[in-house]
Amino acid sequence: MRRLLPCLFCLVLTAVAADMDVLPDERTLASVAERHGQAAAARLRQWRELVGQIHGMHEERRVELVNRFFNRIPSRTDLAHWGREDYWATPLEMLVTNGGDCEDFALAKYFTLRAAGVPNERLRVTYVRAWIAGEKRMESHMVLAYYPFPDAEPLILDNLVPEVRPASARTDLTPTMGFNAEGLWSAKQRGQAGRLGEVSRIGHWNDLVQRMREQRSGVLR
Amino acid sequence: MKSVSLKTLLVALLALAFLLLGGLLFTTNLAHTRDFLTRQLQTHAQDTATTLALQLSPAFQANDLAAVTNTVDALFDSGYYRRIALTAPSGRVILVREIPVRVQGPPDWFIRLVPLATPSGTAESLAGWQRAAVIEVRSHPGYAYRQLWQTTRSITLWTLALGVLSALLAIWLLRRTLRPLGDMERLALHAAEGRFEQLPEAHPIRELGTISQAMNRMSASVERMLGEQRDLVEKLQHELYHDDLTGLFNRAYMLSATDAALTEPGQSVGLAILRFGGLAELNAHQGRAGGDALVRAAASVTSVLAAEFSGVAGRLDGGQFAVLLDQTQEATLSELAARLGEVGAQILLELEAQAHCDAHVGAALATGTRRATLFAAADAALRDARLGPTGSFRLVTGAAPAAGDLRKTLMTAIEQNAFLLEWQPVLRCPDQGLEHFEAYARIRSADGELLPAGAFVHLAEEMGLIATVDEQVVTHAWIALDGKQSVGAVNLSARSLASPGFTDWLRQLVQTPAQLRLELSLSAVLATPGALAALTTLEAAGFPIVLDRFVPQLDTLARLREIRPHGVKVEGALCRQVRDDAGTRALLVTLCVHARELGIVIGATGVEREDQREALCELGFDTVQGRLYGQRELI
Repeated sequence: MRRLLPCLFCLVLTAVAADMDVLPDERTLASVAERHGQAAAARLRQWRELVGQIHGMHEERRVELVNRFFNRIPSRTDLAHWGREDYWATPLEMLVTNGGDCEDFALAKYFTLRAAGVPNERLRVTYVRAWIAGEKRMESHMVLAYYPFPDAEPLILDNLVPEVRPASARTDLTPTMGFNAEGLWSAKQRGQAGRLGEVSRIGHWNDLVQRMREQRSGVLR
Repeated sequence: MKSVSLKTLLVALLALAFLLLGGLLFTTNLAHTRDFLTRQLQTHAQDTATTLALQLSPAFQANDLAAVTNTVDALFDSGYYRRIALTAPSGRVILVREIPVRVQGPPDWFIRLVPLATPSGTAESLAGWQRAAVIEVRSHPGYAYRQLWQTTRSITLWTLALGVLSALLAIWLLRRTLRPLGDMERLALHAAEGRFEQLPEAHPIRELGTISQAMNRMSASVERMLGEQRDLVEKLQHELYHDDLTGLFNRAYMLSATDAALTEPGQSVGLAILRFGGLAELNAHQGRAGGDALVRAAASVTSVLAAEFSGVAGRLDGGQFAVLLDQTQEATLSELAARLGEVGAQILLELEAQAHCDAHVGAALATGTRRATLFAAADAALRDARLGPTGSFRLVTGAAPAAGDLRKTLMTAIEQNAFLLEWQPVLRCPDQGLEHFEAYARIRSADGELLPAGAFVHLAEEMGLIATVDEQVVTHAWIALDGKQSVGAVNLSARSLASPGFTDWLRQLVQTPAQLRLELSLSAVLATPGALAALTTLEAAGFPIVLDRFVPQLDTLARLREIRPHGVKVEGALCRQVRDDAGTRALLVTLCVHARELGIVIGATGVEREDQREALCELGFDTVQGRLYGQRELI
């Protein structure tokens, strides 16, 4: 077995989650160390350890720790970081390059929490409008919302503020639309993605999932 | 095994190929269209769900269910949706709008046969941060079905139309390209009949062109081989029965011909011998060339006279020439003898040979006697004539009936329609089975004796009554044959054939012409104006034509290919020599092969003995007839 650690999770994760196994294996780590330096490899290793450590913890605690882990990474625009508009980076790319925009944060946190055993039903990737006080304007933004139960007020994981806060405490955010990432995921699984390929969100999503698959087994672009 | 034409097979294969191709195109087209429509339905449903989720958010936040209902209804009533359902995150149903799928346009069987999936699109609507509802939208497949049905129908129609068009085109093309096959078939059939043609060799299909060339070469070489065979027959015949110096028949043939003539019962046979005496002396004085010149001149005039009297001319030996007349009378023979004497004397004068040579004629007429007797009588007459001056002749008559009596008998027979028929069987060679009967006409003389045709035909021809005689004889024969299975043959005079109205009369009388074979002498047909045309007419009408008393000669063999008769009957004088003469055998074998290649039935006549029959059958004759088989009643 090349992947020593993930084999632990195999017992814990559900069938769907097994496909959500986005954590890097040893070969990937070696490859990253060689091409991007030890610091990048260390970040990946910490990420893998984090998921292992928090797995048994209380769900809200897991949410907090994952939020904190990613919020250490500097926030940068796609154009500045990737050289192109609207690029959905994988968690691995984000950690290796040590940077990402709001979408990258929300998605990285989503995948990490899913890997740490948080059910999909409680997570929503949500489009919001954020009031940027310093610039006195609304900006399109993306956060991850955690719903402990269906009708509950969600906790918001946002890269603009360091800690997790309940939605009512985030008066600067106005939600527009939440989407069920797993739904897209399943659509992909059902083989319908091709039929829906023209839809832009799905396009991003397919690209992302594809890269995650490749990177898991050490293929880095 | 049932046979199928090449054209049918090719058309069937093309049709099959088109059907497969058409079916494949049709199926893929249908599948693609269906796939495209399903994708459109999915996109439409998902877009609507997303838009609706965004639109309903403020209403949910204001807890304004009326606004939510209105918005959903307004959208749903457009008719493009099959179902819109709003469900709370707890699973409680907030609102459902649904109509059953009822599709107008395409028939039910089409909907059953080509099911169209109606995928759904879902989105979540938020009330502030609270998840208010899951929105599920399914598009109505009616329009998609209608589109699918129209596409299917138009594809089907186009496929069918193109199918019919290409089938017509294929049939037309095949008919054009395969036409040479028909030509080849015709060439082969014609070649079997001895007619040789050439096909056009240029052809758009290379194989057919090559076959055409090969068949042309084959046709040409078969034609050449047949020609060589004919030449061989002629050469053999000529060498066997002709005199080298003069080209007349030789002694062997003359003896044989006399035999044959004498075997015909009741036939008066006349023989005239022209003898030039003193040839040796002429040779001594004028050299061999002088003698040869005399012989050639004599041969030439003898031949001319023989033709004039419908006889056969030959050179017996040295300075002796003979003319044989069958079916003749004293007056005719006498005239011939006189003329021979005259021309003999004239030749001597012209060649200034009268000092050394003399010329005399001896003639004899006999009926039913032996050859030796006839020759002895002619020799006796010749000896008698030599007592007279050059150019004189003597005639010895045997038991031939007097011309005056015969004339009376013939007239009576015609007036009383009193012709009698005797039927002689003609047998097939290998098994001696009956092929058909040949009718021989007879009349009864005043003293009760049966006279054969040979005795009166010549007279009837002279009197211009031959057509009447033939009509009566044919009528008798046909009365005997009509309504029976039997096939009969009758002898016709070439003059009857050429007489006006005869062919029409015959065609009207005989409704089943295949039952009545018409036998004619080729030389008589060729000598009588109009007879050949009449013969061709009758042949076309379906009467089997048989050339009687056939002797293979330079022109007669060529005529065989031209006339293409049903059969030929070889002169009895030749047939009888089959046991005695190797040369005759070779000639007859070659003739049989030649006839068979032309598809002509070849018959032997004058068969008198069983060993002759065996020998003739071995040579390749198809039928035999003669005195060996006697006369029989018509079966």
